[in-house]
Amino acid sequence: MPDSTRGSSLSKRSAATQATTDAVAGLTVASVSPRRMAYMRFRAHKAASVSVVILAFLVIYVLMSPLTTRYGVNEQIFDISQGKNYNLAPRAEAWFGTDSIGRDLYSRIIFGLRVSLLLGILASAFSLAVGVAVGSYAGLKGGRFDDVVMRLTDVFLAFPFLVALLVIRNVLGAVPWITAVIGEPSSIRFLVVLFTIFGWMGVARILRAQVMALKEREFVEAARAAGATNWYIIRKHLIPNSTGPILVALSLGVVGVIVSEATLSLFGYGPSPGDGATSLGLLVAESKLAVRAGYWWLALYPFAALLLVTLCVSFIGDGLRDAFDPKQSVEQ
Amino acid sequence: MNSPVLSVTDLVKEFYVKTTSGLRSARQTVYAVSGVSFAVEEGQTFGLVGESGSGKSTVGRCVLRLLEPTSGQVAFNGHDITNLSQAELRPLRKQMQIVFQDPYASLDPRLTVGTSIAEPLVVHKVPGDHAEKVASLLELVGLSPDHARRFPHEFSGGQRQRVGVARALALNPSLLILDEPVSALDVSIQAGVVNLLQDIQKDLGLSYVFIAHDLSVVRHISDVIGVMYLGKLVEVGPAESVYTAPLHPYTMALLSAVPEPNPVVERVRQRIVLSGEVPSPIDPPSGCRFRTRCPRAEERCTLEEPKLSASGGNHQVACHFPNEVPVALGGAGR
Amino acid sequence: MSPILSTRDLRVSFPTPAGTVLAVRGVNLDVERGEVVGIVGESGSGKSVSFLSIMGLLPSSAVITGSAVLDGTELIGASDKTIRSVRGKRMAMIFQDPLSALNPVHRIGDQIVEMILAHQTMPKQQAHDRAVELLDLVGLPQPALRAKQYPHEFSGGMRQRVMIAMAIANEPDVLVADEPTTALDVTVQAQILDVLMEVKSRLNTAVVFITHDLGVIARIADRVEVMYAGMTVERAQVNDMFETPGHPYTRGLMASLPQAGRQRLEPIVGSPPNMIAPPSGCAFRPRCSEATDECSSAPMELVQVGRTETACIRAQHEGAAT
Repeated sequence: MPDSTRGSSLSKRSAATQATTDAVAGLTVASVSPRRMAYMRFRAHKAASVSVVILAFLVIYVLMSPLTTRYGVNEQIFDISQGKNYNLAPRAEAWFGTDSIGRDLYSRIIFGLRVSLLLGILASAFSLAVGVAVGSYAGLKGGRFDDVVMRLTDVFLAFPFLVALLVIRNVLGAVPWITAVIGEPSSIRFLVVLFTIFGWMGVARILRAQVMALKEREFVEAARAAGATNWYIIRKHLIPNSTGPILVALSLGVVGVIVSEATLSLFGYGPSPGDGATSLGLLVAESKLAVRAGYWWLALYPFAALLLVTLCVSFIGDGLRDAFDPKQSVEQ
Repeated sequence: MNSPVLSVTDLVKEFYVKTTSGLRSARQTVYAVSGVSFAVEEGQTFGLVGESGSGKSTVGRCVLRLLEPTSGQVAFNGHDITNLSQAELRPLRKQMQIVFQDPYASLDPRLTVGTSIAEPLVVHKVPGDHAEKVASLLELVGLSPDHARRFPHEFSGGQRQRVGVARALALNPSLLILDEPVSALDVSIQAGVVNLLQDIQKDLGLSYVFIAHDLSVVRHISDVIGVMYLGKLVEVGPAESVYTAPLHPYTMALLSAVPEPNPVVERVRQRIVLSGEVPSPIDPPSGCRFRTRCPRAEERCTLEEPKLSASGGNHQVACHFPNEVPVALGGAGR
Repeated sequence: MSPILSTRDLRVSFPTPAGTVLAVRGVNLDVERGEVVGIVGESGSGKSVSFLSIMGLLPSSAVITGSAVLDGTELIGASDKTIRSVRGKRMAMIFQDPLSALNPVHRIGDQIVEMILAHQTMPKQQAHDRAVELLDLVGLPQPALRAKQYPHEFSGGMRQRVMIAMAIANEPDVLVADEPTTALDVTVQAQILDVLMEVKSRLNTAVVFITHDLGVIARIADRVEVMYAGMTVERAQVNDMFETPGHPYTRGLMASLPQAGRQRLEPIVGSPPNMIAPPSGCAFRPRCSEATDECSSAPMELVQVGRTETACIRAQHEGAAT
């Protein structure tokens, strides 16, 4: 019997008695891990589930780009000698129309999506790594270290984001050895570094708050009593129990980066990785003048793609938040 | 003569709180523990009893250096561990462990019960197959080895507490600090866990520091009892002696306040009802800290703090007028 | 005299993602005027939920059936208007955690005045004087000063006194106390129990005291109801219950208490049942050392056996045989 005090007889039980014991003990037959419970809660969030499907489809489609696009990123849809090929409205040869030099917008959107998604994921992943490390250590250590780190984040956060972005971009871009290491100001590498510099603070704050709440919990004290080091506790206990906020921060980060990139592009500071490669932001930026001339498709489709991606990622973030929100878990 | 497993001398722990009102901010000292000394012999249970603000939980944590003592000395098996660095302390941690009060917060909800129990083994890089050790520990505390793969949320409070005990035993400690281990459990479940603790103590020769506010449980399991009030030990002695012949007015009041599950006795008992509430540990009363609520207090108590002194055998009390029956106060505790 | 509060076949269930929790499964309870009824039970017994349902304090997803009549007024299924006129005026409740019941941004005095004026009409100043009177009645020193303070300036015991003051502000017929002293130090508990008993004798209020502590029951209860798995398993006068408990659960509870001279405690094996699928027949059967096959289909009905009423089929058979 589970709550008796002599345990030696327990080693000789059969599976049937085990099941009965479990039932008497009130345990459900199938063990459900917290991860699985979170997954089930995520599934219950309809918008998020749909968004995952859409986004997954989009990502696969984009990754298969040489196959899924109809033309190259810099390719004109047909030779100009056959007639006008620029600023054409959507038609059979070019589903989303063409731009000012005759390139298929549809194909360019797919290539642009690739760049934007790559930028978004890489930048937010790096921001996450830095932010989680800094925030969790500051939260756990507390004291003076925490104060210093928090003042540092405050300093970074105090700058108007875009202005600072532009200034740092120009400053870093002017220093030769920096560009040698992280690439030219218009390369993707550079942009990833730039966004990371300005993206880690938000995550750091969130993690710090989580860690400060969690470190008082007795299972952390138990690990300490067993002799665990700070990094062990962060790795094994604090970060796994912060999965919710981390995933939410990741998804919001992706959205933030994609939108920021679009804004940068509007000012002309977006990525230009060469060979006519483009990003969603650039496409939106390029359409500024075209719209006034009445070439609506050049603005609509890039913008719609941008909207679709950000909406999907946002809904996924919502779903993740619901999935990991401890208030909604079913306690015994 | 063996040195005691645990020896605490003049332990002091003070916290600092910053209070801001308007533009001013002041730093105040919380005198959580103010000079506590006691010893635990091998195989014995030392029961530490007190109400909120007594500092008993703080003492438990200071002994393990989960909180750093402000001053005083903690000696384990004769070795002074008060000032060791964390690195030097780590190997010693194998021998002293803690069981917590809250069965719902003391286990990481994301780890299986087996992983939680094995954690001390992992932290200390104990070689060998942990699964076997975990299985035997689970059996020892009255659970089935199959339960290792399940998660904390699937267990009841009493079962989780047993898991906590299993985890504390993983490294074969010789001293266990038990911080209110049964307070959060239903009464009928408490009994099972108390029995378990007694059995394990006998089988493995463990020493316990049993911290609780439930006097009947403490009496049942302890060999020696220490009564704490507002950071001080006011009475220490063999369990039966403290219970049947308390010397300190606070101990007497505490014992008389515990309701007996016997209506015939309970309704005619002489009760000593204390007035007021426990003072704040930020501003403890001068002299004897209990004087503000003591029915026997006199002027001497304001001026001079009583020290723990033996009053026959190993029963000690810190009072200027020990064992003088105070006048019973009735009414609405005004 | 008819009882002041009377429930018949009270049932409460909650839908949850894991299934429907049958928290209360047919409770018949009578409370006489001016008596102290102790409700004993552990987690899952349904002791708190029963009274929360009568007071209309459960979430709207709860399904409540049966009857609960307070001095002639049916409360189950009553209109919001009826419930509001009863709650706080004729029947009041105090809880385990006074901090969450008190509004931290309002002064104590104002909160009591609010309680008074919700059910009685009088000038504000008079209500305020009454509030100070009430604080004095529950033993708060310097009541006029205290009335101007905020909840965070009070300790746990004092807040509980304030809760009692608020509860008795309108001189209710029934005061339900749901584990009011469980979170308090034992010396403070003694004070609060004294306050409660004084208040009860002054106002002749019936008190329903819900707890798991048998010692408290022994001290203040006139009559005891023992609940397990959503039903009453034993009912008796307090002396009778402690002397000759008629149900294995009651006996199990008493045997698990540490007492002088007792070498070993007798726990009740197993755990409280899963209320989504409680055991058939007698819900205590899986944990009962005296269970027989008959128990799996036994109805849990209270029958007088000796000096107590018990739901134990075996005791009933033995009682009938003697």
